[in-house]
Amino acid sequence: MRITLSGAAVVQGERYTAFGSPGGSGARPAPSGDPDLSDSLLRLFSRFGRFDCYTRWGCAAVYLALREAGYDPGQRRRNPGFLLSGQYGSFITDLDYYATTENGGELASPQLFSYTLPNIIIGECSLPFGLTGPAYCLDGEGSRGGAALRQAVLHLEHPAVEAMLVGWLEARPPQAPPGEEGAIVLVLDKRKRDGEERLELDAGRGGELRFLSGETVQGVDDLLGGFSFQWIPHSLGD
Amino acid sequence: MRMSETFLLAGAAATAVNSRGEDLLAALLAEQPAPPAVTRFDTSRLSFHRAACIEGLEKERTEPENLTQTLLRRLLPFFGSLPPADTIVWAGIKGNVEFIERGGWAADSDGITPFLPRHYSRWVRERLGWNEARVIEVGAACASSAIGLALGADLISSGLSRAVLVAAADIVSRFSFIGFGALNALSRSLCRPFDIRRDGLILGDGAVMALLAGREYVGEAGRPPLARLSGWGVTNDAFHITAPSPRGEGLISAATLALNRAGASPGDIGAMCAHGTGTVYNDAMELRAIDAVFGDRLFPVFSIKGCVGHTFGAAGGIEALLCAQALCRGAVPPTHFFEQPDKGAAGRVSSEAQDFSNGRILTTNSGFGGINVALVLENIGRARQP
Repeated sequence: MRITLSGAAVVQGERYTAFGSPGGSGARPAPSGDPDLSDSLLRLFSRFGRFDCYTRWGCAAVYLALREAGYDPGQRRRNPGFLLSGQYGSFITDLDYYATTENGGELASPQLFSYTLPNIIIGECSLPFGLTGPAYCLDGEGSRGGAALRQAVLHLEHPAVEAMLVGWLEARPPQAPPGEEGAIVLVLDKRKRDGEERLELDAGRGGELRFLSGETVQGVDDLLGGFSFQWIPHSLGD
Repeated sequence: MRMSETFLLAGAAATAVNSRGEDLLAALLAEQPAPPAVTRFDTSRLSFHRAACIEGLEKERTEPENLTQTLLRRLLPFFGSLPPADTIVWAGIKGNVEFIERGGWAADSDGITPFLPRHYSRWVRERLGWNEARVIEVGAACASSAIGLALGADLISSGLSRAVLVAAADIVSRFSFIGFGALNALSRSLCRPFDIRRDGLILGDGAVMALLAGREYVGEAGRPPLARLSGWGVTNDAFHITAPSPRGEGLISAATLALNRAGASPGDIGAMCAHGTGTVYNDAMELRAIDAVFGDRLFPVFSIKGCVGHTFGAAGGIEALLCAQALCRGAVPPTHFFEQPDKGAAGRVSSEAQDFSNGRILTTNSGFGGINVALVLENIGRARQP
């Protein structure tokens, strides 16, 4: 099976990048009709300004990657799914929510409790983009996002699934040892649009993903390695 | 590509009615009292008090392990004689909850803290001594262990794995109890799935370990499988982050995918284990989905959550194991505390045990984030038990 990497985005605290074509100039600035990324995100996610950073980074990366892949929020595709890796998940929100349960718990925040699961970000993104395929959090040992990538390929083998988003998302609590934070989202498509230069990959038996050169893709970083980044400064909040 | 068969080879589950992994179906076929008021933490300032907690768990705990591990420990002996699986999937959703409540912070020798799901997948691997197994963690809210089984079936059927152990455990915690209460999702009385008077769910302690295997591993293990996992489907509602779609289209789609993969039609399904949380919205969605998939066909549909409570990430795995038992015995348990059927439940849901003859059973789960999963299990000719 031939798979196209049709869009990708990386979001960090104060900057982002997004791209769809390999080997070229990399990221493009936001289109003129979209001068402010935060406004676009607020239009799609009405509570964006109140999201914790885990949800904010994830939603932003999904939006940017799908935009590069040519997905319009109003346009429905056939059962795109989303597998998201990462270890800390919603831990920051878990702590914030639990702080509201002081005393007897009768004033606990239902809004915060709703976000104490790592897959809620997937639910958030499924609404505007119609992600009706397999969508859950999945992590494993080895290369970053590797288990999610292999499983995404298995899902793509099913005729009902047209595309899979694969991501890595990490927001570390203050007590955690230092490490990388941010969001990476890739869009794997079973169809290739004519006239567009996109990175094509071979999906082998058992979820194996290879570059056309034959080299195996171990994780999301291998896929990002084929692109030149042009970081765009933009604060999505801390 | 030729797909390999996937068997449910072994499993054990612990809940408030079978706290050491005893026969769950036998426990559910017996009369059970209503889950009592929680004593694990103070609920005096809340409007909700009941939960299906396992008694005596706290006394068994040894530091630095938590109640999740204490509960899982009870299931480990069921797997000691089996050859190692090559993959372990951890599907508990809040194994870290006691540490959040306590506010402590400590890392393992390898830097993995008990706050992280990886801690629990590795802990299972270490305790079983299956040192070569790779570990995977799934997070799909209350559908997690059912998703773990679907993932395991994907790995086995595609030839990537020979055997996959799906493990999950979640306990009733102050964190979750207050949270579900804040969402107004907890019952003020009894959890009555599919009853017109239902007013919410009851939480429960639960743990499950279920071993999926391909034919080669089954031969090595030298024991007959419990059932064949022949179909699975995973979808998302894309409707709301916590509420199910009232039209049930995500669940309908998941069930249809599972049936198609199993090569079965709705008429081939003998019984259904519903998610059946006892909340107004979940059960209404499920009844609508059942109507859409099965038409006006009347067949046994049941939920165990009135009795064992909602066991979070462990629920789907526990229910899949129960379905394998039900296939062997040709009977499903009563839906405890069900009295007055909601529209669509009459003639399907019963407060009595129900017999069924078809050799396939459907089990479904749904969770926050819009996730739906459906599994089809098949009897593989084991002698029916009385």
